[in-house]
Amino acid sequence: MSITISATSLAIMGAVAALRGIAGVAQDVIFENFENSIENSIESAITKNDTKEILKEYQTPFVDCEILEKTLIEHGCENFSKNGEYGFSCEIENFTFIFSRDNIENPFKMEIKCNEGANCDMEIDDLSEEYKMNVQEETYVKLTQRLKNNNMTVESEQILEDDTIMLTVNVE
Amino acid sequence: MAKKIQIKLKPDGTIEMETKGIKGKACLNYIDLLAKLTDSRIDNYEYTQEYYENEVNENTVNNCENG
Repeated sequence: MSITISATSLAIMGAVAALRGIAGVAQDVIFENFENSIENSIESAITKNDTKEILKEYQTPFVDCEILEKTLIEHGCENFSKNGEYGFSCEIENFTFIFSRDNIENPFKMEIKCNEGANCDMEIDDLSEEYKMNVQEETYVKLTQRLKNNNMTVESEQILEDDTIMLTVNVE
Repeated sequence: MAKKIQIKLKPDGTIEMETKGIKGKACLNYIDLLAKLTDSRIDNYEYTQEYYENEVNENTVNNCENG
């Protein structure tokens, strides 16, 4: 009589593709990999004007450039500049973020440049949470518009305790 | 029972949907619909116990009618 379906927004991508179809695993894998990416990030250091500067490299699950830019602006980033065909950089306080990728379907690789002692991992954690919430918001806007276009009526809408948005929709 | 779908948009970017009151294999049509409505990829779907109960009932009816 009914089924339950789990899906992930295309705005988020990880090593999930190879694991599609395994119940309840896919999303964990994305962020487990992302957390591993934080732990395994590549770090290098250069000394500039007697200040040691750290460069850390991460593989992110961020795919949607518009949502990423929105997230960075809301996070307080400024001085955006384009790097090559698919990349860009921006700055916030003592951090410089450099994003790059080979094509628009791939998630961004991210480099953070900061002074020694700055907490890059916390910065990327915050950014990741904010990006995911913007994905939820974007999905909500898209979904409600498309339901309307398909003459599907939203019977009720609720925000649950964990900030999940629950829509009950009448279908023909 | 009225036909409904319940869609949950989670703050981590994942989406869950449950069909209610939609009999038998017709509920499978909603897998593609969810992907299209939300620009998402389907990670998994599971039949609820109700689905199997309904399938058994339908098969029993079909067997009786054919017999």
